[in-house]
Amino acid sequence: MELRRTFLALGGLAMGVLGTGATLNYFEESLPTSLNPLFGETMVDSRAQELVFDRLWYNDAVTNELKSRIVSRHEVAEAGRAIKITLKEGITWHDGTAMTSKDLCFTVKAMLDSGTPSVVAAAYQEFIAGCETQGANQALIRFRKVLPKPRARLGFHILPAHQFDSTAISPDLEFSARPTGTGAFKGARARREVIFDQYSNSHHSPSVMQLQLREGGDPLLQIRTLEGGEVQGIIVVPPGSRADLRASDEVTLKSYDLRSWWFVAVNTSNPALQDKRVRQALNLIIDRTELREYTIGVKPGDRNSPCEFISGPFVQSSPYYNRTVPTVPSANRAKADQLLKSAGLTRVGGRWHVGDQPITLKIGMQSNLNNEATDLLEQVGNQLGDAGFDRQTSKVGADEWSQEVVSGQSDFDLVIGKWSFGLVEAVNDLFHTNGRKNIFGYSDSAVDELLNAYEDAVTDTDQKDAYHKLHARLADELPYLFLWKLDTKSAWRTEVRGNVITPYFYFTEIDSWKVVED
Amino acid sequence: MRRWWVRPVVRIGAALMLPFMVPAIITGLIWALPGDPASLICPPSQCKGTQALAERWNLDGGPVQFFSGWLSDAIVLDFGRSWSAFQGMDVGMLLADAIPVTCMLVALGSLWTFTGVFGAATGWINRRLDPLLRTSGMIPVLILALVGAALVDLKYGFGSSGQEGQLARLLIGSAVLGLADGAFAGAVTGTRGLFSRESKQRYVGVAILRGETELANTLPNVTPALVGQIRARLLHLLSGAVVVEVMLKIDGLGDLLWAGTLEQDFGLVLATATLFAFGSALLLLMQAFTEIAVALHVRRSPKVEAA
Amino acid sequence: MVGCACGGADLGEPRAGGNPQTTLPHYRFNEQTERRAEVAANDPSMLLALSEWHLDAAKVAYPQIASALPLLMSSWRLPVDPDAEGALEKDAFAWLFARSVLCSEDMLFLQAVDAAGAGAVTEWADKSPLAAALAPAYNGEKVDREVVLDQSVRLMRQAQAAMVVLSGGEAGHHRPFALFVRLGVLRAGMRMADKAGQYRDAGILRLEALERMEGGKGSVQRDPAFALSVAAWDVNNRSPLRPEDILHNLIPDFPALGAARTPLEALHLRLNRNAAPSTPVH
Repeated sequence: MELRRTFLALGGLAMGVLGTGATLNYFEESLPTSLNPLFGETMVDSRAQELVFDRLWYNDAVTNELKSRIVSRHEVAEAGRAIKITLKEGITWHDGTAMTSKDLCFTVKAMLDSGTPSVVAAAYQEFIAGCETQGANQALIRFRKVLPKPRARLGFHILPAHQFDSTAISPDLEFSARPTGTGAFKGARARREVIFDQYSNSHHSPSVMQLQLREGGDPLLQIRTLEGGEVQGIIVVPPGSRADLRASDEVTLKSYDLRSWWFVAVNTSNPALQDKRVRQALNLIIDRTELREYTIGVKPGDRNSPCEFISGPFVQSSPYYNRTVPTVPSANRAKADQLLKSAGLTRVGGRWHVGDQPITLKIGMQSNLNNEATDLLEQVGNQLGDAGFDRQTSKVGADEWSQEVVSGQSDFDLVIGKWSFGLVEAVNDLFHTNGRKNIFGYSDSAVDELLNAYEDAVTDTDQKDAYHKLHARLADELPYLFLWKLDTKSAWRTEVRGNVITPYFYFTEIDSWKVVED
Repeated sequence: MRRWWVRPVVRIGAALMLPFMVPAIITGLIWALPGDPASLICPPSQCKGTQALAERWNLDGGPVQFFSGWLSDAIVLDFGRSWSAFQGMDVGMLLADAIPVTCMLVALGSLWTFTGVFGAATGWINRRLDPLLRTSGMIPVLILALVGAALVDLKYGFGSSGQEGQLARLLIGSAVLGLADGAFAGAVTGTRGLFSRESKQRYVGVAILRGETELANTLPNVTPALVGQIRARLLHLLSGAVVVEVMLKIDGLGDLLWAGTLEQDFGLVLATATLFAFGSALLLLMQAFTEIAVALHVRRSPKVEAA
Repeated sequence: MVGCACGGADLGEPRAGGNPQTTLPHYRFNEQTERRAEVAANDPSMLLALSEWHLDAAKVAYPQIASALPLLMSSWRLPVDPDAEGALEKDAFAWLFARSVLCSEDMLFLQAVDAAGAGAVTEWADKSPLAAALAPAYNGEKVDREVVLDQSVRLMRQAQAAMVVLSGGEAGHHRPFALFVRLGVLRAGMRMADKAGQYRDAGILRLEALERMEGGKGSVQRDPAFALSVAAWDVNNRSPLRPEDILHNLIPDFPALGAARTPLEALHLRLNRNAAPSTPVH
């Protein structure tokens, strides 16, 4: 077995050497904040980490089959409260050290360690109790409750125990910039780019020698650079550029399955915005049809539009979407004015006032969203300005968004952003009083009750009903003005073959990617 | 003047204190800002470990504890790792890569300044060009930098971050620095003004009658003021370098400072600000030593042979 | 003719321009829980009866097509349906318009693949354009999906070039119609791979065909039946997200597809409960 694995590794290495030797350059939405899977919180982080690390279990991008590159056998134990895992032999970390069960248990312990300040780990702390090694390649992971299908829940990345001094892992370690994983590529962050160098292993044999990730910047420049062949791919193609790329023979547009919806979060701590009638008025001031047309280029009546309005925190195709709650496609200023007056606001000199103070709204927007919806911030600002609100607008960088806006430490009144989901569309963290991503600390007992009902639901119907009621409640309370869902498309040059894109994680099947010159 | 040494000594004192005062003041300022980096990375509502992180980063004991800890590490050139802007990357390495870039940028930019000074002093740049220079100097550095950035991105595309692209950025950045906001125009007109005022002195007329050159006589007297002007212009270039580096995506100290400030990366901000303070201190020392040299030269009694 | 009284429900006489008499969902019943929540469900055999009703309605609308119908419908035949035979009369060629087969031989080739396996490509390579394009992709045992992908582009470009020659110049409609050719190769290759037991490769070709089909707003290549087949394939793989999107996009034009929502949502909810923890990401 050992000899076979060695031959496989050598074969993989040989394939890598004899491979095209190609470098794939691609534009991302931004640079990753961290290459450490415990600390990344953006989609960019997830995609980059997927190149460097292996997840314990992953879903095949094509057949959705649950697979593992590093587990050879598993067995549910202790009547469903544990799982015994046997790791494959011969897998090495990027520094040549062998991967063992010690690494698996180290990862679990790091996630459970209260000294590890990880939002990602917090989700696993809720159901994983601990891990013990039972041999060089065997480990037992214990759960806090019986889990009927544990493998589907164990999708975390494995970390190397020998690279850390303790299980309390800090985000500023060198590991965040130069991680060591078992994935197909070794990553290293520089100031303006991230370089991923091929690393052939017994379980990975990538054909591409190197990947270079750069921040995309101006969409037009990205498209021109792609068409010119200097870059081979763009992860997120702005909607306005899709028609041109679709017509090109040198570039292929590919779907990137990601459930995303856009929103304007409202700071309910602001006295002017505490009254829900004011928020309802804002909802009626925003003309979504106009916004969509001017920023994304979708005209009213366009069929098969990539951008569809929503009235709540789910996309329309989701089972949780409450179809009895209508969207608000166009503005209704008369009704908005009525609501604002009934909320006690007065209009003086064309500007809305609370008491004798004019209302000035500080509006922020995640800056990379501008690539997908050009000038959305300005358009929203203009609509609010026309309706009688003074405003100050500013774009927020990816890091500031993660660290200040999402954690509720910004001083904005309105923020425009986008949330992305995989299969699980749980929104509890967004709207629960104790939610980890409750941007402005919104709190409503009825909403909390519905979210708890979702968590405690015994049947699927109960779960769906809870979220349907939540949708209706949030459409009335409006802690967010729900805008739309926008399909995500990537573009890759036709020389890039075998580029199967995994829903959400993107690069899971990177081994099959290759560059073939025509 | 008997107390000619006062000014240079004050300058030397300021130069020695600057690299300590600047980070101390910045520490006080950022402590006054709401929030803290540990809570930004790990908000207490979202994850445990905020306290552990604050302890690791020495944020749990107030600004004095933080500053003294930072200073004792900085003295041995240990600047730690970036907390957020370039998470995990060694700050010392970031600085080591950035210093030559900023030095090159400022040096190339200062070529314009020195050219202007030399041209004005020697009369090589004609006075008639002054209105044109003043007009072109009205273009703000931001506008010129934006134009430059667009040119580089359009020309080099994905390769604009590579070697060739970075060189192009550097050259364009230095031109922007040296020309915008009246940098070049100011060097020319300021120097010319200095020399023309000094030329009106009586001793200059006498020297010319004696057959000596104007420059040889005015230069020693003008030098301290000239050095002061040059120092001010170089400081202007140094501060302008921050804007130019950010707009043109040049991987220098200014860009690091900007990124660190935006993301409350205290270690990075303090380190880069201290380096800028060092630069300013060096200029102060340069001016102080020049003043001393000139003063000693002026006070040197020439030897006169007995008749 | 199906004047259907299926499962006790009378669908009514099939007629052109009409709809069968049925209501969806077929059943509503209450959970055996304290809350006794109502659950909706559909009966697959009723759905089959509904499709037969529509087929009969089509025959009522245009009786002359009856003889060509078995071949035209061969892509959608059920395993119990007999093989179609013969070729299309010239006057029936119009029925191939906007489909991803180029001639009746292509349909016979695909039928042969279903019956005999991927090896049928060798026998049909000199008769069916799709088979000719796919022959290089088959080595006697396996289908090379990369070759299928390449051949789909080659044939598309060939078709485009031929259109230019025939038209005397390039025209805007050439590309959309050339895309049908590409889709034809991909879908035929997909069926070959399925028959050769290459489930994953067939899946990649299937998804590629779906991708090429979605040509943006109002794309003429959009084939609802194929899209639904991909959705069904995804459901078989217990992956509900793409089917939900496919269904959602088709329902405005084909409201009857709303019937599929109920079981699909049930699958999604069930999978949700066992999935890895996840929080929203920006």
